[in-house]
Amino acid sequence: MKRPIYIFSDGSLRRKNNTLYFESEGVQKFIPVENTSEIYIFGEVELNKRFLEFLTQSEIILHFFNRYGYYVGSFYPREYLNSGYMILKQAEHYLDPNKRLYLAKAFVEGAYKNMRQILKYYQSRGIDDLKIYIEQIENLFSKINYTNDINSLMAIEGNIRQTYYSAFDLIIDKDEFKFEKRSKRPPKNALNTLISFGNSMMYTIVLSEIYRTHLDPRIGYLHATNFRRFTLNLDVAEIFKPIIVDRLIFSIISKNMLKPEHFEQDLEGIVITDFAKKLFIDELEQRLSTTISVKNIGNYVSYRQLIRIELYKIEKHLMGEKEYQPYVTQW
Amino acid sequence: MEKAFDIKGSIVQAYIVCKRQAWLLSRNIGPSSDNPFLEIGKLISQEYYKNDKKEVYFDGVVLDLIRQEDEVLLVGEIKRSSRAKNAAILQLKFYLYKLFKNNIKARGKLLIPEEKKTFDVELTTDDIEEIETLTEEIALFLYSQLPPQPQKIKACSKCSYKEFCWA
Ligand code: SF4
Repeated sequence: MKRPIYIFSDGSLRRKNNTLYFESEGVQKFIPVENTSEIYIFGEVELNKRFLEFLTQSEIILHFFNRYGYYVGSFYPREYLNSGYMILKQAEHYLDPNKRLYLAKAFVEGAYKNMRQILKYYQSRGIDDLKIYIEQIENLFSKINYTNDINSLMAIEGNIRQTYYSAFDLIIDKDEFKFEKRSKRPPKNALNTLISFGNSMMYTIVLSEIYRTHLDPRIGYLHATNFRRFTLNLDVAEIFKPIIVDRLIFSIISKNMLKPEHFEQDLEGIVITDFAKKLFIDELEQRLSTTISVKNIGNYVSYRQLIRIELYKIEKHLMGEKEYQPYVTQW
Repeated sequence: MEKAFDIKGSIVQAYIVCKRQAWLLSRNIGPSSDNPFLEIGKLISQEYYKNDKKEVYFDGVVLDLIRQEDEVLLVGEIKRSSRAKNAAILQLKFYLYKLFKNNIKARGKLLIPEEKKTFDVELTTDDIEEIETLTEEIALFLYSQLPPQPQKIKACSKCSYKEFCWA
């Protein structure tokens, strides 16, 4: 099994023979390429072109985060599963407004249904006040039928998510982790910081999975393509954020695994400490390898495989083989 | 699509086992590379036959291994198991056919190192005819806009398209 490598310390990454080599304050580490799926860099790390070439050859993608835990960017090696056919199909579905709208709506629908499942779950656990939030997002979603353009679709999605987030205080119910309102760049409180970090992780996870398919991450449908950035990963991540990131946040907080001291006040906002990042990533890895049963596929698949399968479903939709229906948790 | 598809050996082999796979390959929709069986395949060919030329590109096909023997060229095709033996033999014959068309005399050997088995493969005139009919049939088949629906067959369980097909 290939696994991601996470680097928190400062140091340098090199190629040594056919192995990845990391040196940090005199400590040396060899990392075999065969076992590495991708690398996350959180510390200050030096690397050179020879190293990047080696990553390309070994089909390993690199994600950079700055010291505040904000996503900086990824080194996305030349695609090795290149299919001109698939890229044409992807472009076709982007250029045709109806085809693009179909996919964009599907992503919003998937995100909405999963958010709704989360709220329903906690409602069934006795948080009755969630009822109004559920009704509100149901109302918002019903407007999607009359929507014919991406911008209004984005607006509906934004409103749904806002309503959903504002229900977090009812679910978490802890003074140290109040949601208040969504704040980004920089987040104004610990919960917002955690959400931002989790979402960034989700974007990179989906990007890594896209790298293992024939899809081009630069062509998204809900998130406008500007031909410079990755957008398809943002689209697909919307579906998985509630069931992977948010559920994880609820469980970490309710088990008191994270405390306010794991966050620090910076000049402008609240930043996440390395301890909290590591803890979150450990839990995230566990969640991603948790298996569930999915109809059609039959046997048990992990959440990570589930993301890959979602991408395959999109490929089949693009090919005209099978209409895409987003994954909705059974929870 | 106006352009005829490049019919590679892997497509011929796939066509015998599963037509859907052949269609996907023709569109360069390659299998996901993290399938453990593919990795094993790679390792096997790295591990064995260290002294031979490997992965030789020739007229649009990749020959696993070649070795000069007397006046003829020996072309080896390395497989993990004898599971899809017939398709593998046909694939090898297709390579021999390509070489024959380029006036290169060659004979083939199917190599299954893990089972310590080898099979000699020769190209007969009947084979030539059969291959020509088959490639025409494949070319025609590949024109179709959609791949055939996946069908649960024995090969599916170890196929690296599994997740894609049943997604
Ligand atoms: S999974 Fe089955 S149907 Fe799909 S390509 Fe493989 S053998 Fe063919």
